[in-house]
Amino acid sequence: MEPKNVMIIGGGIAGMTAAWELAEAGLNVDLVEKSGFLGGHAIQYTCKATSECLQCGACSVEKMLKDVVGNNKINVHLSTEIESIEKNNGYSIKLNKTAAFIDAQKCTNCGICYDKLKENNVILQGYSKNNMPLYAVNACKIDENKIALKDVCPEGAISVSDKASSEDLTADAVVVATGFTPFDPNRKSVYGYDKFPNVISGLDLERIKRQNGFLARPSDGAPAQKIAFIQCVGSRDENLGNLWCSQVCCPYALRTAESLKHKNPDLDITVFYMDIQNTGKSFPAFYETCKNDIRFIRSIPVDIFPIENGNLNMRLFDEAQGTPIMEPFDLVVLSIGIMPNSENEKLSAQMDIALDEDGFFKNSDDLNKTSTSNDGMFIAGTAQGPKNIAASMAHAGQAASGVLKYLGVTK
Amino acid sequence: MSEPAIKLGGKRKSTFIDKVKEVLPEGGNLNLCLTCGACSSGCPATGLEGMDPRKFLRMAALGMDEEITSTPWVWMCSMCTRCMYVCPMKINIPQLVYYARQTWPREERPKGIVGSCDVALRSDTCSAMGATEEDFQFVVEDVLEEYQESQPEFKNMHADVNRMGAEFFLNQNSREPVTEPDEMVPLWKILDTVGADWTYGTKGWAAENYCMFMADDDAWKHIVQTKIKAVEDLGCKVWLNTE
Repeated sequence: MEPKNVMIIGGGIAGMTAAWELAEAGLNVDLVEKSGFLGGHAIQYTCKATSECLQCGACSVEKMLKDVVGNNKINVHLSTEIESIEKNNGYSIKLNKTAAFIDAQKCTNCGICYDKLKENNVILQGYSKNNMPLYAVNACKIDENKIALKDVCPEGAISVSDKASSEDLTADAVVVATGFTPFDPNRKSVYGYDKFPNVISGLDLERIKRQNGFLARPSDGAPAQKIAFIQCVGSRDENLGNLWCSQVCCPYALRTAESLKHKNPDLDITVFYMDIQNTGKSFPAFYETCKNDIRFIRSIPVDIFPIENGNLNMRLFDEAQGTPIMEPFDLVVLSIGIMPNSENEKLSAQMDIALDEDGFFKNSDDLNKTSTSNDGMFIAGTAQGPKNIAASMAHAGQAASGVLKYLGVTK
Repeated sequence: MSEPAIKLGGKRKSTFIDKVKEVLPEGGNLNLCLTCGACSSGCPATGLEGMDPRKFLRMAALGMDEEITSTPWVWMCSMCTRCMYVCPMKINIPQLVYYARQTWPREERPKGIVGSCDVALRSDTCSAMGATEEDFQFVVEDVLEEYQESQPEFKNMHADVNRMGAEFFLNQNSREPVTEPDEMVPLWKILDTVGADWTYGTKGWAAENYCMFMADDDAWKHIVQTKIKAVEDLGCKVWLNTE
């Protein structure tokens, strides 16, 4: 019997895990990724170990990326989007690949294109050395840079055409692993994210740590000494229409704080919270350790004022003190949450599967959170709702197992 | 943290918060609190009398009616509604405070607020400081004349009183004409610069409404109706209350 084909939409941790599981089971996989790199959001995250591993899962993304790139049953389509998808006997899919892209067969990862065109973000560099190629053409910059793109590569690995090229695929089943969109902190205007350089998001923090090796303040590059984390930014908020807990922000803030503190015990870190999502096997014990190193204040602040040297004055209310005080910080980290992918409505219409009231993909069976109303389609990862790395991988494994059953490969 | 633990009573009584929920749209969202404390972080009255908006709401939710209806903190709230503005769950804490005020016997409410309301109720000016129609008109005309002369660029500035059919009917807090008359002028200049068609009135001119702060619904209503009548009698289209 010919091996079955499965298409996976989205090359983040969930999509990669589903792809790898299915390839290992002997199926042919087409992994379609809109951006120029595999790894999604999770590949940007840094290791949060102190003297011991804090089980953040960041390294498992790196490992999975390596496994997927090295697996010849997985055909990776980078810089590619779904144009249309039709269910007949299986699925007929039309893909669109951007007008310019780097051909993985010819690219030697020499980095000449990046050196010459990184200035205006025309060529982007992947977060992981396991990205193949390590560089990609920025889809938003193609039109005005076609000539430069044509000439820059000595190997002729950059393909430039007049318009996006299309490709037809068939698949016996589809896995939707389109992930999430991080909360836009500008929607909580009280924090001045767009006005004060040293107010950053949790995602900015990861990028800064990755680029600098330490937590540098955006305003002057100096190492941050006195740091505030504000929890639940964008989550659990009726005004924003986001009533869900994003589940990942407490763990990432606390792990990051502990890891920073481990490297530099002199750091002064405060976490402002409403209640700590203290779930999982080892997290309660970890939370107790954190209380020795971090100041916890159970009130979400709402006033941040700029003072000298890029520092920020915050009005904070510690119930134990009884009265509010003004206190300066040199960096404020907003623990932003997981929002439905901003393209979910479009994707939902394309694939004819429903969204839930929050805008995530709706599982049709309460007992199987990978199920959809469309028989051969399965959801994996944060496309279905907030999840951490480990939960996304487990969910993707469940989706892969659903695919295998649906296709009759397993019972 | 050294305070003794709060002891809760045995049987659950019909609580104050339940009664307030009944009169507010959506129950004022009073049972949606996530205890995040954004209200208390942003409230100017946090920490006064050992109270803050979150603590107040939590105590109400726990049925601690006696404490809720006796704390003088409710009179320190300025009804600015900032707690509700920053609340992720849009909880109407100011209304809870308002109804807690109503449980106070009139004679025990703060003298300053009660006295100001009483004075305002005495005449159609609604002035809490008792400034009369004649005094108000005299001060406005006197100050206007002074500025028209001393600042030639404003020699044609208007500050009319009782001009029929003006677009805007402007209120004025009593404090300015009575104690700081010059403080009226910056707004006049702004209105003059933008070419606004406005007037004061001798009736209903005072902007303040202490009867609202006293949580006396009938008196509050009387004050508002007196002002509305003044606006309508002059045939103005828009009532500008600067409070």
